[in-house]
Amino acid sequence: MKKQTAGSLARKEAGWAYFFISPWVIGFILLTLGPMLISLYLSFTNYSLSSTVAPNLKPSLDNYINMFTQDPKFWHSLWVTILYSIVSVPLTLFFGFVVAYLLNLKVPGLPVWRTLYYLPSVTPAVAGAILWGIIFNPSFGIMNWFLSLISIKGPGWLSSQQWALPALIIMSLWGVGGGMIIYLAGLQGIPTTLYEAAEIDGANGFQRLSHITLPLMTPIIFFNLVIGIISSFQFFTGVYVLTRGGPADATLFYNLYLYNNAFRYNAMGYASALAWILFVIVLVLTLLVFKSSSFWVYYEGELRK
Amino acid sequence: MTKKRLVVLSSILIAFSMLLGACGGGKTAGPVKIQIFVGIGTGDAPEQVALHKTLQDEFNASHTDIQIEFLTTLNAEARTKFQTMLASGQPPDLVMPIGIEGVANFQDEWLDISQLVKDDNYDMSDFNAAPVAGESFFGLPIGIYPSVLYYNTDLYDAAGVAYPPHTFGTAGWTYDALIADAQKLTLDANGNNAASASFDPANIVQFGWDGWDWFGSSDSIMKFGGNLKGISTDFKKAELTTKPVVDAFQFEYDTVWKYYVRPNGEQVGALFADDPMSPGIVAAWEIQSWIEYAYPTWNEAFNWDVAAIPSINGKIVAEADFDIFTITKSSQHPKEAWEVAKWLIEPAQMSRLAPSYGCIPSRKSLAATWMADKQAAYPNVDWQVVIDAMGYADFPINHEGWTPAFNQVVDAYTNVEQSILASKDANVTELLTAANEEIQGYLNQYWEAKK
Repeated sequence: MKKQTAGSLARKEAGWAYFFISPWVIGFILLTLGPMLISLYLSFTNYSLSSTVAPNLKPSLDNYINMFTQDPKFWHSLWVTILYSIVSVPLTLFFGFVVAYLLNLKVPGLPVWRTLYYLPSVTPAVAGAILWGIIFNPSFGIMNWFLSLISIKGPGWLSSQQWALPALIIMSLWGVGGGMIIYLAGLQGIPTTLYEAAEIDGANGFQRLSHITLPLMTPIIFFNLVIGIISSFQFFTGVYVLTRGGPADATLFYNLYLYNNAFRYNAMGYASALAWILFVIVLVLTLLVFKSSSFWVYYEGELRK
Repeated sequence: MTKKRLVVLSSILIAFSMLLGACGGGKTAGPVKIQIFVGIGTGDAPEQVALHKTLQDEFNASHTDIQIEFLTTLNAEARTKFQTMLASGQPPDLVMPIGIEGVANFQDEWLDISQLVKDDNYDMSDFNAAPVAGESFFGLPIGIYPSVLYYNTDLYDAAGVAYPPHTFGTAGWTYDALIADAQKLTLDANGNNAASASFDPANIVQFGWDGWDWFGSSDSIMKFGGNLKGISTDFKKAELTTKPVVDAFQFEYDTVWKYYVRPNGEQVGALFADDPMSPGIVAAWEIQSWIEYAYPTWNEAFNWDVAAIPSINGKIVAEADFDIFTITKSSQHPKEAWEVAKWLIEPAQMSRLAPSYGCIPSRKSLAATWMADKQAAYPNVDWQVVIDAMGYADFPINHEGWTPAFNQVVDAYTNVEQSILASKDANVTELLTAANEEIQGYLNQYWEAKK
């Protein structure tokens, strides 16, 4: 019988490991990394999806120069997206946490409430957007009906240049269930001994929240913040279904403008450049959030410098 | 060789042969297969899909050299899928039905069929129109959708306003006359009409005219004597600040904010979940005849009829839509595709396709049958008006026709239209000046890239 050494065993194990992860690695290279690199190259060309117009595939910086110097819609769409992100991300973080906190209390019918709040997160985005289109309808939508109860005449939400973006921000709250479930897991992971000790020390509910719950939840808040920023910059389905960027570009989100360039304006090269700039923006924002985390995120067992 | 190695080697050989088989796709002897892409226009409804399948079976049973296959895609995703097919080098051979706007979207992708028509000495005398987009001849029409003025006779009767004329070119039948009637038909919550001094524009409950709600004022520039999309005929200069364009958009503004006969953007969103006529609060609406899908709903709610399009400055333009076929330039079998297209627009096939799409067959010889069918279904409607409207269609330069940077131009105009509909404070001249600069930028870019 051949004797196996520790080294050969390790190599064999490594071989099997590579074998088992190879489907993912091959898929990643062919379907993610490859297209990413190709799109990076295309972003320096005027490539289009046309089968008859030969693109100029000689790389140049034209797309990037035009984007920053001659394309007001680039700046406008970026501004709309930033506005949406600035308002919707804190709102969803806040409401997600509040809902999770409430659902962590001992209230009757808890599983039902949790399911109800989480349900929108598993509802197809298109179906959700259509539903919100009905909610925002100025004549028979429930939003204006609620406002009419307090004698306010609601606006034409999606047809108004002033209210279309706020309407989409309100719609973003529909998705708090996703963050909520993560908050809930975090809340349930906080040792009860900490609360018991605080209670013995005479801490009231607010003090327990501010001195125990919130600090211990900061890693979860941090995670939801990063995910929230990324997804807010990628917002597309709702605006595509409800407004298509209108009225008068009031909801022209960055991703919608990118889509328009790729599939409506037949400028795939320019759309690729937009995609890479979006990637850089999101990367920079994520890095900034990571950098800031040392000031406000508390990890149990971590030694502060 | 050990058993294990044998298994591994066999597996590799099998996988390799499967890969070769998949990538091969070499030419095989037999009939040419023509793929017909459906979805850019109408054609994805279940009954239309069923008809296509019937036609496919009939064609394939009667032809040995060519076989056809309809590839139906949902309208919402058809353009993206078509582009993907083009980019991946697997273009369909035929695209149908497709409107002029769809043709303009993919202007560079179509085969000019002039030579095929000429080689065949194809008889086009029976066709009402053979649309030409730009200088190219991309396809023959399957059907036409002329625009007419649909009106709710109940509302006209209630207001005591005479019905609009059914004859094109009737003396005095201008848009000014239409607006004067529309003011009498526009009512506030207190029953005052828009011509009355006590009319309350904040509480309108009935509108006299819904304008060109479903095709913007940019499509109406030619009614006012301007060029297609307000661009010079050589497509190099944006002319949005010229009189015809300003007049077209000022007219839109005035009908909404001065005469109050037409709903503003908020009212459209609030009142019309479906088409504007269905709720029974719009007296008249100018739209193409593809709206026929709404006829049953209208019939249940109110009495209605059709009237002639009014004139502007002595000119009548009844904007028409067309459904045509096109052959892709990158098709491997353009001649066979042309043979299939000819078969599909033969009377026997067109007489089934056109009603299914909701259009008037483009063959003059089939118009009488269309009239008879419509007369039987809706005996109180003057269908001759729709037939007459074809004589005033915007052809060969169609309102949906191609311009450079087609969708950018459309979007720039949409912003102007939406801004006007959104606010009484909208300044038409300022909006058009800004849009002129924007569109000129697109034209410059286009021609620069063409150098």
